[in-house]
Amino acid sequence: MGCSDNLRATFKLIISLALILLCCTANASQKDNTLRLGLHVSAMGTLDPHFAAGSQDRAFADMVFNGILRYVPGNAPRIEPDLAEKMPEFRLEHGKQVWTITLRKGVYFHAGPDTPSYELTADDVIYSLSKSADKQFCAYAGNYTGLILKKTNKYSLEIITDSPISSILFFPKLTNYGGGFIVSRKAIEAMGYERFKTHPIGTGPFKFLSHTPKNHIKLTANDTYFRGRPKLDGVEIHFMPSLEAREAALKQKKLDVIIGSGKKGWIKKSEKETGILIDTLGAGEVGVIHLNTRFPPLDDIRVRKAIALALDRRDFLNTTSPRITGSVYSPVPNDLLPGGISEKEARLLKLDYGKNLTKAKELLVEAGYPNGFSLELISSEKRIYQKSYEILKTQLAKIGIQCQVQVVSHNVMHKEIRTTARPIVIYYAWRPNADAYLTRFFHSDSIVVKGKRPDTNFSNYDRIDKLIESARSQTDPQAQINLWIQAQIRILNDMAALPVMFTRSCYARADHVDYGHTLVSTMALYPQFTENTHLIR
Amino acid sequence: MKTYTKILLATLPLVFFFLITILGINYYFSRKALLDLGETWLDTRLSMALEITKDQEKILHDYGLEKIPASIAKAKLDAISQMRNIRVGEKGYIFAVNSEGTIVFHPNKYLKDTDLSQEQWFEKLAGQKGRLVIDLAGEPILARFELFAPWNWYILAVDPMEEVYGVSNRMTPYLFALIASAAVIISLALMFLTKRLTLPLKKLVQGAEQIAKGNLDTRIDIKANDEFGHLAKEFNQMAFKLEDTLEALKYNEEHFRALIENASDLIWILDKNGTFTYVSPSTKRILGYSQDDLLGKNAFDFVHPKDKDELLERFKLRAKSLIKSQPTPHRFRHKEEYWCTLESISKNLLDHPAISGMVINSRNISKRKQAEEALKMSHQELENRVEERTRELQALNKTLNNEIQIRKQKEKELERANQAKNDFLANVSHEIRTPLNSVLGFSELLSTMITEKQQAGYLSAINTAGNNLLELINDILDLSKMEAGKLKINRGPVSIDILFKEMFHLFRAKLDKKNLDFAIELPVGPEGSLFLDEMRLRQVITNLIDNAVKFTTDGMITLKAQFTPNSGSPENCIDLEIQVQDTGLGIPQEKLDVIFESFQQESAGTSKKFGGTGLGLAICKQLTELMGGSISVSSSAGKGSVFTILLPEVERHIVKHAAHTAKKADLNTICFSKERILVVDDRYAIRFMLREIFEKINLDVIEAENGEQALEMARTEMPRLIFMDAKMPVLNGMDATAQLKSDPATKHIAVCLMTADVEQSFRKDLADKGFACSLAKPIVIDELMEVLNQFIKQAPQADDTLAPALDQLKQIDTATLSSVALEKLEKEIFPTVPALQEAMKASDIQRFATKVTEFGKECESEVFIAFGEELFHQAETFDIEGINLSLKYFSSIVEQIVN
Repeated sequence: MGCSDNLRATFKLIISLALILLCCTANASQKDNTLRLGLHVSAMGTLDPHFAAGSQDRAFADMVFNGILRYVPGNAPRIEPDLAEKMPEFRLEHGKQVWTITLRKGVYFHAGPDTPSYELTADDVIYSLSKSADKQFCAYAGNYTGLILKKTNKYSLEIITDSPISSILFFPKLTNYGGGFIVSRKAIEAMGYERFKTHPIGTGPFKFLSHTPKNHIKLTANDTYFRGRPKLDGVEIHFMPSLEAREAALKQKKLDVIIGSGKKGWIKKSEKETGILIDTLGAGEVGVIHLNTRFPPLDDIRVRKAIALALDRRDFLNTTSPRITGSVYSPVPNDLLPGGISEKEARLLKLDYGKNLTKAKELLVEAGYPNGFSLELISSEKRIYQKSYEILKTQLAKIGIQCQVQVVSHNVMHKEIRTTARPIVIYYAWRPNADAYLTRFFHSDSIVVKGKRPDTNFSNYDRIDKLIESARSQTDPQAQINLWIQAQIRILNDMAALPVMFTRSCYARADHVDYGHTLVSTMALYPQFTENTHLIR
Repeated sequence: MKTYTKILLATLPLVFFFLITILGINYYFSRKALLDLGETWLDTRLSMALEITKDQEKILHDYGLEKIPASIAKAKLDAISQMRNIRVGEKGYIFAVNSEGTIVFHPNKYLKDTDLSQEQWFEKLAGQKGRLVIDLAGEPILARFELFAPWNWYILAVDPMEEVYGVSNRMTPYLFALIASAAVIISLALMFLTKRLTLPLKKLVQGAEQIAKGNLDTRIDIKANDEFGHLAKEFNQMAFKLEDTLEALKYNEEHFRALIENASDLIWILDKNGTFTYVSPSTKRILGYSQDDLLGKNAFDFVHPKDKDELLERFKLRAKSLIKSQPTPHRFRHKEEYWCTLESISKNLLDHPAISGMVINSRNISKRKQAEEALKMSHQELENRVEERTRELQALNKTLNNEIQIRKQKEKELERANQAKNDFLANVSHEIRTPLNSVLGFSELLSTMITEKQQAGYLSAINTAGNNLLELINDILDLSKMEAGKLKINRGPVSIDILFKEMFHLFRAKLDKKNLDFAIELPVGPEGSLFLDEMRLRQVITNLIDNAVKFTTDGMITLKAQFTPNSGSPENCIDLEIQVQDTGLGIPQEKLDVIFESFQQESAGTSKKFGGTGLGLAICKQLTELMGGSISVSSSAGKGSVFTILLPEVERHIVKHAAHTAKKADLNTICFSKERILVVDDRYAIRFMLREIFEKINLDVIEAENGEQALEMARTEMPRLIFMDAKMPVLNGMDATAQLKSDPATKHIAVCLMTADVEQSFRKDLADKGFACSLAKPIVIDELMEVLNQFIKQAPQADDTLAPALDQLKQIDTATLSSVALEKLEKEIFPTVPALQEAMKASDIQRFATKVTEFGKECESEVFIAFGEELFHQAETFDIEGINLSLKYFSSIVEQIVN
């Protein structure tokens, strides 16, 4: 115990010293118009935007680079033109889809160590997308292989896809996400790839200034940014794994924005602090209760509907701060992705499954289980899983269904639910589009253990294969969305799964920070600092 | 009355009548069409609405959602949303009522759910589709409706009648104004046209009158491009041609007269009695007669008396046209009293009013006749000479045939003798080999039983001598086959890479024994295999390496291949050069010429020292030449030798996706310890194939179809080994492996890269990328087994012949054995096995087998009884290999049981 206390005291001392040091450096530049962001990681992952995975990497790439298209700042998944003049359109030639991209004129790359600032052309875009298709130079290469790139003139190019796909599945390839960031061809050719990774060159509102490994990274405003010079002079990203340290720096106005915590009560506590505002944002994970349609007695639809009617979404939401959770009424989250069902629609279609214990009991009696039955379930030791199973257990007990919940490590839970059929599985996950959600959770090929490509179809559900496959090959986005929605109506009608809630991330900011845009959801994993973001001093 | 007036008076009333009739009909039908159009237009709007509902219903039907209430509700909502966008003129709209009369969709949302069942017009909706006029606040509204049965919806497209029929009502005054204007315009046009039509007619009449008067140079001046213009043009051409024809006739007459006067042939005209009525001037030149000499005289008086009767007869028949005209030779007297031969042909123009005679055309053929006679004589002389020469040749031919028959007879005799030699060699070799194989087999068996050193030495000498003899016999047989032309080359795809590796494995023991190094040098070769006779090529290389090993005491042996494109051969052919190089004794320069001859070695001592038949290189030479190539050697004494095989124009066999043809391991005999393997590949076929193989060899298989799934499964399943494909969607194998290796929980898992990328550079730095090894695609089972052997232990396995007994032994339930039995197994039976394995005495093994059988009977274990009996049988039949395997396996399983 004594040793542990000593360690804790030493740790606190180190944090205090670090804070003092941070205060000093921050004070020195307090008067400038630089925004300071505190993230929970200890170092940068990569400066190459095509390998960005962690929140620090994505935030950096978001500020330094642009895509041909972009997710509307703070309002993903809406997409708008970024480096492109307008949204790309396609024509069909010999069964292949030819997308035409017209670039903005007057977009300039940042000046680099070996290259002056120069205007972006179709050559840069083709170079960048070719880099993205090469697995040695992009972590998302799989999404870009099979695309044929053809320059048509200095400011336009054509992208030819092997088989037609809808804009919903095509546009994300060109956005400021994954391999869609456009890098400078001349800079890489002049510096070499290895040096480019230490001094990246893009067209974004901020340009790279310096990087002190495991400490911070500095960006400065791009004076020639095509949307106008940013209102901020620069941005600093500080790596601070300790929540306490980040909170202290924010309170002392040494940091302007920090990543927060999902712990229950943290948001409430932080909101009470003077001069601090809390923001929550997507995208987050979606929690769905999967009911095994082939596991007696859940193979009876009346039993599954009884279970759904016995559950109350509000109780699940109450386990976490209400600011970072929200209800979902379809497996594809309507607020975050195209192809979901809204609460209003679910109610209109009578698929919202509001709590109704009387009806639930009637259905159990009809199904021949007036006294209920027992179920053996398995939960991860993670807090959100344990809480979810506890609520499930409590609520089902009210209609006579007794749940034995075995708590195991997170890894073991993943292994168990994939190798042994379970009557009910609660699963939290994020997938980038509706096709991925539906294919991996509800296509018969994905049925655990017995599917052709066993994945995460815990419901053992096989009724919507044709809908999923037809939707995937649709090129008309509206028709594609309609098929996805019909697929989910079928899932909810058959009660193969009950979508419960989604979770979001939260950030705290000093009240003098104005992001310059509304904040609903971002794909950049941080609130996004643009040319409109400013500090009100 | 003039034509102009007549036409005008005749056509004008008719045109007016038709004009008024057509406009009247037009008005009637136009109005009707516009009214119909108004309703049709309304119908198209209704059809658009119906199409929307049908499309939605089709989705429900196609995806089996017809009975899902929420799906139907969603389809209806979508249909309503789309119908809202249909525009029906300025004032119209679409709405829908269900069969109970409740509005289910209306652009005015406040009217939704309004009950219309009491409205009078609602009762008229009884049919499937139709038309209604609804009075709405005094304004008549036209409605087209149709029942959409699947949803029981009446869909109505409505629009005020004023808007629907507005266009047709406004058209009447325009139509009357149109009629009046048309009448005036048509009258003026008709007058003008009639005038234009009659003017050229008048000119034509005048022209015809002039030509009739003989004025052939008359021309009509009408330049119009109509029928009158064409008529005038034809008229002018007709007059022109008439002039031309008359001119040509005149010219022809003069021309023909000149021809006859100057002809080289004789042209006469005879009257029906044969009297000359015309004689051409050429008669004077050819026969010497002037016209006066002949005119009025009978032609037959000048004909040779011998020809006269026949010619006169023919003349009479021709005059009656009873025979056809044909050239007739006859003799005619020249003025100087000698006979000329003429060939004459006649034309009967007796009935011609101008000629009235027989026209005779004759040619003097006297010289031709003389030449023909001379030629006939020469031909006869030539025929006589040919006949004489043919007789001489026939005699010579007969002599030659006799000689050929004699030679063929001799060749057959030689062939029979050679065949007899080969048959003798084959028979003798077979007769020698059969007992020799027995000698070698028994000496092998004896060597396992005899422990006494001197006896073992004798046995070894027998074995070596026997093997040498067998080798000699095999070589003789091969040479004999080749000489007899019985050895055929069978080409098939051969991988030089695999062949060389096999060579290395074949000679590994010998190389190790002599402490020699062995190197394979293969350039980056042609893709795929080469079409070669693998067996024969292997025989040649084996022979050369065997020699190299024999004659090399220190240093190394190198096996090389070179692929050279051959510019003169087809594109897919190359020249293959294989070299076997050693650092051995070498061959003196003077011996290099003879070493490829049968029974030749460098020296007599060589055979004694190193063994060998002296046939090996001769066989190599013959085999190489049979394969279309050549073999050569370069060497010098003490510096080693280089044997070079050159096979030109070898066809490449390119197989990109076919399964590898290399030898496969026998999966039935391989059994690994139970371990979990994760197979990651996006192609189902590859995963399925690997699953099949791994399950056969006792491995537990799990699968993932991309890197992301693989990461998740690796973390949860912790496999012993991962087979990772390089290229996959979502997350590729390279990135997935990098992530696995950066995760402390999974970094210990060995990852084997599966790739079709044959580039050496690609595989070179695999270790840096986290891969433990790589496996080339298409997958070769032997290579796969090599990889598995690196990471997973093989379980003890049974021989095929022992499989039932050993399999039973493996699956024995130890719970069925009592503690006493276990103790006996551990203390009495198990300890004796090592001694048995060492001594391998048949009698001891039989005793041990009996002991195991009895033990089985004591503890009522069928498994041990079966095993004991099987082992006893093996000892009885001296199945040394079987005994070895049984004891090894028994030892391993019993160890597991007692532990």
